[in-house]
Amino acid sequence: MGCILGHGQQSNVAESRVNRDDKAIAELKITRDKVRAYIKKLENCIDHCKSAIKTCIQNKQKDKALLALKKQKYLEKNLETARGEQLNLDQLISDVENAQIQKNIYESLKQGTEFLKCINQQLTVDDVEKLMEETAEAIEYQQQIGEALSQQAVVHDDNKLLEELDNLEVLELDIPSVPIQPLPKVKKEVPEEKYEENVSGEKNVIVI
Amino acid sequence: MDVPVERFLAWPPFYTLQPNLDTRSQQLYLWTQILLEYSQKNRIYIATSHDFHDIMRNNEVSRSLSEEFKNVLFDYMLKQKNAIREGEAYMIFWKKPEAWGEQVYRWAVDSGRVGSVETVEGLVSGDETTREEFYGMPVNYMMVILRSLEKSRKAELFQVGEGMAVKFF
Repeated sequence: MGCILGHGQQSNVAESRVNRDDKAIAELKITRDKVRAYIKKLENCIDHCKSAIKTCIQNKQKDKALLALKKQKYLEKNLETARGEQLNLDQLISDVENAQIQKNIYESLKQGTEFLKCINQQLTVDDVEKLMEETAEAIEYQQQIGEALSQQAVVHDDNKLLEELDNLEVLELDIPSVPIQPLPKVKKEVPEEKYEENVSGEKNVIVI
Repeated sequence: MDVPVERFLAWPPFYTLQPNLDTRSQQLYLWTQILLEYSQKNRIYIATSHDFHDIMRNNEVSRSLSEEFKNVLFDYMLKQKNAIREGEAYMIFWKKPEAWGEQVYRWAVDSGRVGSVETVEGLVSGDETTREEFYGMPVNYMMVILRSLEKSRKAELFQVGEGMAVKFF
């Protein structure tokens, strides 16, 4: 498995974790910041224009008011353009970030596939078949040993056994009946405590 | 200390640098608390002693801080890491950069920005952070915070063209 675990990041801890893609996105976002600032500035100018027009009308300066109104119109046109640009930029940033994620997914899949290949390389079909054969042989051998051992254990002949069973049955018929009187009581020698200890403790020790 | 800090502002000796070192240390500590609270309330991120003119003077008791006192006070704040020198001015940290850093990082986690890139400008004036406490702080003030985050390897700052950007990890 050295092929995967080998190229980790431990060798370049101090190195930057910012790549070229990050820089490209940052550049787009910096441009977006500029457009945002520009929009704020335009909005501010338009507000100024509006209040200027108001005071001009109050002071009955028609020419001045008209001039300010013209200014307001072209500022508003610029604002509209800038807002369109901002929307485009936002969309582009979103698309680029999306593409970056897809690239990451692709890389992960690629790495996973390589890992899988690497494992598969270490494990050929022939090897597995050979291993299975060997396992089968081992099992067979084991079975042979088992059989050999069990044969040794069975020393009796079946006919002989049946004969013995017949004899036992005959004996069974002559067995005297069990006495009816209760058996005499035996004095309990094991103290209560010790008995309990045995019950809860080791099973093997029997104290009498 | 049970006495509210504001009560000291009406007390004339509070405006005179105390010769006894223990008393002076307590006095400087209290003045620092007052300035930090004032800065937080008025969102003063970068200041000179001018910005504290109102609070460093009390006409009712005809007292104001001397230039010497102001210098000693700012030195004390630098030592306590409540202030960082910024040219002729001081960045005032009523919250330590590390604590601010945690807040910024939490925002990054909550808004799914770990692993992505943001501009420093965007952090303090963008549409995505308008509800955050750090919204509206100066870019160089935010830079100090991000540098502290960089130390704990949760962020990395980098320059792109004229602007600064940050990647969260």
